[in-house]
Amino acid sequence: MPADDHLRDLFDEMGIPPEPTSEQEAAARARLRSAIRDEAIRTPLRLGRRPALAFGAAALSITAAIVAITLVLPGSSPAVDANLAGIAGAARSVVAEELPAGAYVYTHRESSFLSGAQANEDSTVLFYLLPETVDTWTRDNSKQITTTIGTPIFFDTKERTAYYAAGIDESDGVGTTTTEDFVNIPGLLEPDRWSTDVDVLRQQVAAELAVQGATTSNEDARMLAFVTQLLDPNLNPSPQLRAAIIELIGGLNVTTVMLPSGFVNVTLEYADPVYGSVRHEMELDEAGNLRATRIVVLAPGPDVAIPAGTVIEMTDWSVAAIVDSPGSIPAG
Amino acid sequence: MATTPSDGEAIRESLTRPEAFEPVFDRHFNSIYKYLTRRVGPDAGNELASEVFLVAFSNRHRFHSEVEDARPWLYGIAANLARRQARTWRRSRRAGQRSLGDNVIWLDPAPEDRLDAESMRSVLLLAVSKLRNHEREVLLLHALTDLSYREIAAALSIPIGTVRSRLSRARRQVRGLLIEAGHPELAAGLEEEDDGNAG
Repeated sequence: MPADDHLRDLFDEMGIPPEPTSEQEAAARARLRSAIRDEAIRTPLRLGRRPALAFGAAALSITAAIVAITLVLPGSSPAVDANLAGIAGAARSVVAEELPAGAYVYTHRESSFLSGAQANEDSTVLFYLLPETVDTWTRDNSKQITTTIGTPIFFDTKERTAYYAAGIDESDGVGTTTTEDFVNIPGLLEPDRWSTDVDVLRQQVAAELAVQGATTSNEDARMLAFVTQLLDPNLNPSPQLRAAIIELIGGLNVTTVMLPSGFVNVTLEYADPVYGSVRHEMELDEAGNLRATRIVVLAPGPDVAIPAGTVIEMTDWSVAAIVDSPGSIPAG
Repeated sequence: MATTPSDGEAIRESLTRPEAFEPVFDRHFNSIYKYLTRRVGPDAGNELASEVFLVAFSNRHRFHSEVEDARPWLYGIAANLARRQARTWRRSRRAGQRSLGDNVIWLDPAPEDRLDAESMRSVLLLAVSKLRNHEREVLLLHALTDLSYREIAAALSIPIGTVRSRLSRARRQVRGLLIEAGHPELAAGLEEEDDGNAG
């Protein structure tokens, strides 16, 4: 552990955790040994669930731009933006395909994130955008990820000079490509946990947000940020779940624009305690797939030395595809 | 002289001989216990530490046995269980279970149990609790364990670049929140740390 790791020092100052007592360790060991004994019949290795790949052309083609009138859904649900209602309907009509045995779901994204580093102890923080390209292959709860770190983008030539002079590019891994294998551990965002009924989904998300810390008082912004994660193509949400998520977004205080491409652009502005006034943007394609996300700083806060209008986070997604093996990339 | 099997070797062996899994417990229970007691308190932490190894044992067929070190996998399970515990507390509202010990801090409390804001512990605790879930997860694994960035990436099944960016953002958020709370002295050490911990 680095000697000057202030973050770890700060937490260590909060108190040193106790060692487990011999009784506690013995009790835990006894539980494990009981489980070992109970495994009387060894379960054959499971392949795990085969996620249905929810891509492919919608069963119904998308025609012209939807007139932007508000549709009121029955019951107590909030009114849903018409652009998003149309995409949600298209998403529901998508026929999910079963993943063939041995195949992988492949996703590709290109992202950049605002990063900061100090050239030395006495210097101010250098801010820059660090790009990365990520290819992911997923099946049967295993995952392979290849990450390439791109060339940083600076706001000032002096900061670029200081960055390279301090060797920060080496610790950032600029120009490197790494491939890593993971075991998928089902977590909070797993599609199976979330309802495809928009009203139930809304309650689930609200309950989750209630136990999370709030970085902004804008509840619609919190909800939008959270459900955007659920649309991550790597999670392979079902068409029905995508539709429910899109309907939920359509009931928030968002602004939508139908683009010439047929994609829908969704935006929401809010106050971030660190970055200042920001705008959350996302783009959904005609079938409701998440294609892009952005966070744009409209008016930076006092601690962030970046120009207004800076995109501090951006991700562009390609539509998920089926491939035969990890490392392979679909043609086209 | 007999050598101790690596985690990968022990887990691979345990697929046909289940008792071979126990060395994984021997090697990692202590550190998993300490991580969880700092996350969720001594009582729940003890319970969850035990559960980590039950979950790991029942899911050991999913572990990539060519990987030698099971720590990222175990910490990933621990992090999931800690998140589930925080949600359970909120639903059950059992305030009596949650109290800070003298020598441990736990970082997923219900708001009603937070101490006086003048306490340094509660200031940091509040700042961390305001982070987004995925940023807090990365920050806590970095601060409370000796996992490298690469191992944190493995624990959370995310790319290492994402670990860097989330940790960077989390540091800045916590720093900003500490300053906003009137504690710049706590924030002073939280400017970006180029600790080369990319391994």
